[in-house]
Amino acid sequence: MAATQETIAAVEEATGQYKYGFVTDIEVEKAPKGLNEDIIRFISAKKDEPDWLLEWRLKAYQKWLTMDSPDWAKLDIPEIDYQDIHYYAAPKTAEGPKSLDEVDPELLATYEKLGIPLNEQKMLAGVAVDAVFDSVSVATTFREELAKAGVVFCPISEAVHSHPELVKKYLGSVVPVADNYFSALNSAVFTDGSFVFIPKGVRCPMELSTYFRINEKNTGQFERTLIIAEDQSYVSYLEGCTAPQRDENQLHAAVVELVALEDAEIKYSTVQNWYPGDAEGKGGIYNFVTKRGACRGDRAKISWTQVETGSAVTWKYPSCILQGKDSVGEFYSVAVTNGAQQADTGTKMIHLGEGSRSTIISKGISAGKSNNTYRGLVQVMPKAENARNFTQCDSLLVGDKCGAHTVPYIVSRNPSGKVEHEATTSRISEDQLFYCHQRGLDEEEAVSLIVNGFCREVMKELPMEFAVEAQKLIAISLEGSVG
Amino acid sequence: MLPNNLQQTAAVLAARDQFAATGLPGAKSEPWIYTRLQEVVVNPAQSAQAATSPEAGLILHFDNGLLVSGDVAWPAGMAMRVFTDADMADFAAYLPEDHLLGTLSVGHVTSAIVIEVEAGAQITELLTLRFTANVADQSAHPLIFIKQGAGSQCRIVEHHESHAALSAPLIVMDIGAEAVLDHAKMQADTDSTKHLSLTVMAVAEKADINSFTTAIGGQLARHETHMHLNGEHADVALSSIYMARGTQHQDMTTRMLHQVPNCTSSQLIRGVLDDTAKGVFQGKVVVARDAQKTDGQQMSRALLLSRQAEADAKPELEIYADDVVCSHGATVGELDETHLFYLKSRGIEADEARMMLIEAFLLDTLETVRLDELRASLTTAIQRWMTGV
Repeated sequence: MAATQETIAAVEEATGQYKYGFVTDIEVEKAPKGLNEDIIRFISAKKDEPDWLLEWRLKAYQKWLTMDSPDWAKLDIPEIDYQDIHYYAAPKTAEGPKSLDEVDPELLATYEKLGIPLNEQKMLAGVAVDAVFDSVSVATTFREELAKAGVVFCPISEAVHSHPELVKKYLGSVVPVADNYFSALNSAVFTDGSFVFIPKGVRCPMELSTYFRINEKNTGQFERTLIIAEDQSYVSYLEGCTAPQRDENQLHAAVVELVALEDAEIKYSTVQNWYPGDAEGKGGIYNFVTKRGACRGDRAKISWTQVETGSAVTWKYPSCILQGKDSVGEFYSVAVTNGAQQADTGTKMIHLGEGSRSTIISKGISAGKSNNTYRGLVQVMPKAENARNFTQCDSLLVGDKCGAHTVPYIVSRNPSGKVEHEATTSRISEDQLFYCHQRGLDEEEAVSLIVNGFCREVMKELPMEFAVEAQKLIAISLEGSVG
Repeated sequence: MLPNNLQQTAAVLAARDQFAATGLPGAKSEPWIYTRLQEVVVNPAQSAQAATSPEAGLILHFDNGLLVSGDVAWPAGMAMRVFTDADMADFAAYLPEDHLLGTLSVGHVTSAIVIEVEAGAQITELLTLRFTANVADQSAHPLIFIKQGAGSQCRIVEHHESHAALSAPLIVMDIGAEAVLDHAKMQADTDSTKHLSLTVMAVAEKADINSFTTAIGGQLARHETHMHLNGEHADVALSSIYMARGTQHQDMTTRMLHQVPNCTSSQLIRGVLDDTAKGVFQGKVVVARDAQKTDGQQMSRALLLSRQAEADAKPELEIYADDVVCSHGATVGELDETHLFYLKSRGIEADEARMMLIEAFLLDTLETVRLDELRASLTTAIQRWMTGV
């Protein structure tokens, strides 16, 4: 077939010498635009993947072809041409860098601008960083220290080779390939992401952190993260995102899977501030993320904390499957939308285990012409004796052109389960503003102060270094929303 | 009671075609996500049984979907007539577009009447709408169009006691400025009957509505209520109690549309579910861009009495105006053991203690009923349900 021939030719061309003009002036190797089985084989071959993984990808691709893009969210998404996207882009280096010195200085300079703590200074902060530039991890620090504790923290492409049994066992076990349209797409074309394994009884000695960036024009990012916490272990994982300004919409469809075994605890924190597009919403990131954690063991705990300020469109529902007895799920979220941003975000708490508990605290702030929706599901299954859920969703409207929506779904199949949902919607009161004005704060400062107060319950769940950044971020996100 | 050609009017034919074309909602239909309509018998009754003798008082009796009341002594300022073609078009305009229950009953209309209340008329007499049926494979589709003039007052109660395949009444109430309406619905159809009702109220400025639904019957019942707050300073209170046991399915679906500023709406919903019964509450409060100073409150609570009972809730807020106070709450749980223990420790039998607690659970909702003469019979109906009589 002509189309197939063309693709093969294009793949060949791409794998040969190839040069592009880039914003950061780094040579990038990328697959031609479009998605088909050859592209998937190309990605898999690039990663030198075992056959089972290629098969898995191809199966996911076949599933994806049969699925439709979800339309139930309160989002207005322009049609996405999946054939107009590069599914693979990698910073080109002769060989994998052995240390920071080998990393392209241009790349380091970009990270510097973004404030990513990749260099020595940050060692004091105790942050281990697995920086992801476009799709390939280029540098990982603190590996040795973590290794001493028995913790595995590496790019998932590496884990496929170093820990194939773990990857094979857990990949797709929390988010099945055909779970949804975007997870199927991700499973077919994911390029890289982080892999974390905390062995039994180990408390991870430092906060793990990774930074995702989208840099290459028209490159979809398909990150795949897998975190496994064995019995009685603990890990706190931080994810922060930035992306430089672009004119065309960029697609991001990540999948994050967490597995917590008996008495294990995973704390997953996100600060997302990708480019939201201009005032009309042009050029922002499309963020379609599937994040899910399974509390497989008794007393396991998974806690999601997110501060979402970026992206033109956010479609994201970090969830917990509470299988273990007395397992705990938590979801703390601040979602700020301004300009023409649209966010449809929330969580799912599926109570399967006896005595499982979940807490949902969601704070939505809408400003400008944006729409901000909380959508959540709390499901108590028949065997979840004495399950307990508490949900609180508060929305704050800044200005009279935005919208705030709350759509909670509650399904209770066990009478001993207790499910409570509360939601309020209000705006910043004149009294609060007046009080701040009186003390010499201008309108913008006052709004920032009040909004940060409104979000405090969630902010206090963030790790220290994130909390400061997140507060600034919220203030920046609301700039231009008043006055 | 139909004009001869009503079933052939454009609006009816269009609705029938639409219903046939869309069919029943599929598994992915969001408005029907918790209430699956596996099978609905649409077999509208064609002619009335022998007309019953007029009942004393202000009663309109629909049997098998057909109006069978003889002469009714209408109080001054209130009158009834049969739909004209123009009424049908007018009526259809109030219905939500492409709505399953709208097309179902407009398309298969069995009876269609207009009740008009003159502006300023103060009707203190309670108007009773009785819906009965006794043919197990038929469906009833009465259309009732109530036009309440400005500044008028009226009091209406619906009694549903049908034994049929389907009872699907469609009621539109146009409530004029400063009008006062006290409305109640008692749904106690037999447990082989499906009940699919849609009530639309268009509310003008400063109108005051108090509506109360008690639902204890039917094999599957969906009570869908749409409130369009079109005039400022309107005040709407909507309360419901549903109770289900066996394999019954009760669904309360409300849409509260705040289109203009300064309106108040409150909703209280209480559900009691036993055996393998399922209860659904879907409530959406929409506040339009201009509807500043809206006060929209909603609280839904469900009580599960058995291990197999299920309660699903989807309270939604969709808000586009910034100067509003809106909240919704939903809880699902069982009777509190400590409360039971407290009562039992004071010598009250377990069964009685449970009943007391269920009554207490429903009490605040019952207290919102403005139709005083109904309160006693409502309480009796609830008590009878609890004792399983």
